[in-house]
Amino acid sequence: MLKCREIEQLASDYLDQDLSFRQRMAFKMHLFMCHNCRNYLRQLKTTISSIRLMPVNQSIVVDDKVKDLAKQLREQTSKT
Amino acid sequence: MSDKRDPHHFENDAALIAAMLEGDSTAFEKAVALYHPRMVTIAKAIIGEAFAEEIAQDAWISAIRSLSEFAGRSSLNTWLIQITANAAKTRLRREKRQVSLDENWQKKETDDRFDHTGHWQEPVAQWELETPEAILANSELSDIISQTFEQLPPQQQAVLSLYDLEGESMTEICNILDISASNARVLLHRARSAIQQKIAQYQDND
Ligand SMILES: [Zn+2]
Repeated sequence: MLKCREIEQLASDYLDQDLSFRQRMAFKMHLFMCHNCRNYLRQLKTTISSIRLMPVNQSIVVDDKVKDLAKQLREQTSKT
Repeated sequence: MSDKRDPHHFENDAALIAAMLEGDSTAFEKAVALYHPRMVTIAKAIIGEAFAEEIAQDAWISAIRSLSEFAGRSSLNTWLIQITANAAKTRLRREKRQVSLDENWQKKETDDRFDHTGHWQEPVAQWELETPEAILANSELSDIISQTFEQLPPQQQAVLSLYDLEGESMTEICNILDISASNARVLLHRARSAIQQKIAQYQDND
């Protein structure tokens, strides 16, 4: 019987379908009986979806550091 | 929807590269703003804090030199990450000395969320904000998430970005970072777990 601590450690593998059939069954058996781990798994799932929705590509910051490096690289191209 | 008034808007990689080859300065700014932080993260994950910025800049220079040959077989992002990873690994070999990465991930620290029998110390509650949309719509929470992400140890941050943000395969991630599959999985879970715990802390206090 898996312990809650082991469920926590295996949770990402479970959600990413990276557990063996046996492990998966043992995991599900624990979930079936443990309310806390069911809630935990739901929290982790929501967390992963939130991470994947983070607006990383939309928000770009063009500060002085970016401008400097961009300028340096642009000069590099004109040399070649 | 594209905003034509935004000078830093380019339709896709090909448009961005074409503009860079023409020497368009906004194209360079866009590329640097978008990809440089990711390249630094990858370099940090491989060689540590000290050389990361330098490696990323060197990687840019070699990328720019072969930009006209970039055929678009992969995304620009993947290509830049690969150049960066290779540069970092080459440098790592040359440095020879042990570069200390700031995590002893093998060390299994005790997790105080569990009691000695391996059960949860505290009951795990259902979150009030239950969907990712609701979580990200809360500006405090969405700040907490991005701050936690920024503060993750470099290897965790690199694996999390590559896997959850960029959708790279585990095999590819192990190649890029030169780590084993089991390391990669542990790092991924640690990173997700750090963010989950911050969200839980916020939701519990509310
Ligand atoms: Zn449990």
